[in-house]
Amino acid sequence: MSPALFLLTSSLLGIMVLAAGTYALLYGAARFRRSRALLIGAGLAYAMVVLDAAGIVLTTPLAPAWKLLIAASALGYFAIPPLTWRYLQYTHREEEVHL
Amino acid sequence: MSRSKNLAVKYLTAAVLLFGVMTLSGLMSAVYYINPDFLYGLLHFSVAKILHIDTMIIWLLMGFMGAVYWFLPDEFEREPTGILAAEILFWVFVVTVLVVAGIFTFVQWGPGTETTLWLFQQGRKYIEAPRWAAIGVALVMLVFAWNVVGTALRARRITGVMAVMSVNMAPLVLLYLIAFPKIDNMAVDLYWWWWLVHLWVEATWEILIGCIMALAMMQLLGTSRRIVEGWLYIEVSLVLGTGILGLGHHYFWIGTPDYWLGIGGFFSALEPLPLLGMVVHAVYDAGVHRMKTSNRPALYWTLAEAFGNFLGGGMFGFMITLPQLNLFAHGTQWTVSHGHFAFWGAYACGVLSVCYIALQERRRLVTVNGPGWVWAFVLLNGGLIGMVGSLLVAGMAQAFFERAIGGSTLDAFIAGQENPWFKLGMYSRFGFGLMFAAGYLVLVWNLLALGRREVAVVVQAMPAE
Repeated sequence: MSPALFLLTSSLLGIMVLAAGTYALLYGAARFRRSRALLIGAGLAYAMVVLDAAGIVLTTPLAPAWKLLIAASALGYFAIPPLTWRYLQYTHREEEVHL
Repeated sequence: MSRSKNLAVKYLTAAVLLFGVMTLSGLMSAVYYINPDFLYGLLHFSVAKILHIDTMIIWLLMGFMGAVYWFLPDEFEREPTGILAAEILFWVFVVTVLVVAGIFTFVQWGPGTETTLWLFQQGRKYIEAPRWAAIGVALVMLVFAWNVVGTALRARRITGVMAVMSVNMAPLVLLYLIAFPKIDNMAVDLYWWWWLVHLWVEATWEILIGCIMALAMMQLLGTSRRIVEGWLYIEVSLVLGTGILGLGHHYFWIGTPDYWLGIGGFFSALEPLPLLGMVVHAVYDAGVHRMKTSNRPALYWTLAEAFGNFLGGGMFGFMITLPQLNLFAHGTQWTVSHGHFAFWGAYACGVLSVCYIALQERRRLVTVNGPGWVWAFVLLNGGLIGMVGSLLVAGMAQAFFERAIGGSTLDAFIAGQENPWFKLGMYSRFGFGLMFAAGYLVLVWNLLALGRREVAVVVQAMPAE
């Protein structure tokens, strides 16, 4: 791995997680405020995750197994916010029933 | 107020004081990087660093214990079993910490003999405390475990949170025993040492703070026990699922077999996943309650915990966790920036949140708010983010120039230390360290002064209720 590619790869990994966090934050805010603009923002943040993951897969010298893990992680990042949100709504609905 | 809660306040007070020692010794360590002659012949850099990282461990541990002693009587509606022993051992703990700090400051080191191991220090990072002190810490942990488990047994009832906490007490105590044996083979020694360091931090401590934050959320936002416990079980499963074998990322370059590269990299790469769920959960909780609470600082520190954990543990960790990258970044200031951010986000913010919860009940405040905590919050978090950003720049310069280009030779090390980006990072780290220290002073002032004027109002209002 060349020195420049090392820095690039590492930065892309960090940006990928940061973009995933932004997606989660905006997704939560969008669902809560029922805001279309925020939902579009969440979509854009997730597009950033995908682009970043594609950049890692296509341009970095990581071993294929790690690239596969990155691609799988990018898919996992997509699913976690809606799943978490659904479960949160479910548990809170349960709470209302019990109250 | 119950004896347990009084003990909790003592532990939280000691924790905040040690937080100050950690901050001061951290600032001193930062100065050494700018001026290596600082305190030459008086206090070696390594001693300032030992004080910095050991007080970090101890203040957080004391903070956790304070938090547990605070919530324990509410959970079981009785004083903890063995509270007298806990009260005595608090002072044993404090005296031990003071004596060890004195030894580190004035004696500092000794010859490589058993006497040194028993009386002065054991030399291994984070657990440098001499054996007599380590025995004291083990005793404190044992009684702490007895307080939790014994109270549950005596009360003949248990909640989900306390069940998780009780089970967690076994590894919390047992793993600390790794602090004792002297192993001559460095690779073997490091192998077991990481069990203590990593599994305390990324397994038992994670569970402990998870339990503490679950109890805090019930008190702070009135979240139902069913919800909190459901999430606690999920969090525990995910943290243990990714965290235990995430241990492997510490085994990369210490002489362990190659398969640890794959195991460590794989499980570490999964670690951001549960943290992402935590971000969504924080948004949901903040939204449901519209940020309305009677204790704003406690809520904000809780939210800071969720986001800090995600950024520090998730993002900063992910940048350096894959073996091909870790080869260059390992042991540089880059790792330091990850460590600072992760500890701050995962633990420190949670302990500070509990401090405000305890303060509200102790001073019988209807609400906790005001500009003081906001200043402390902004200065501490701003200072911390500035520090980790600076360390990231310095670490990247080190990894790039010293490791990737220079090939980790002595000349490359010197060139890395002289690099303008590295120096810039070190200077700005010190600057942001001053900002963080200012935040600490405002925090202490705020904790001491908060609500003093409102007490009269609250007391007058009480008979009418």
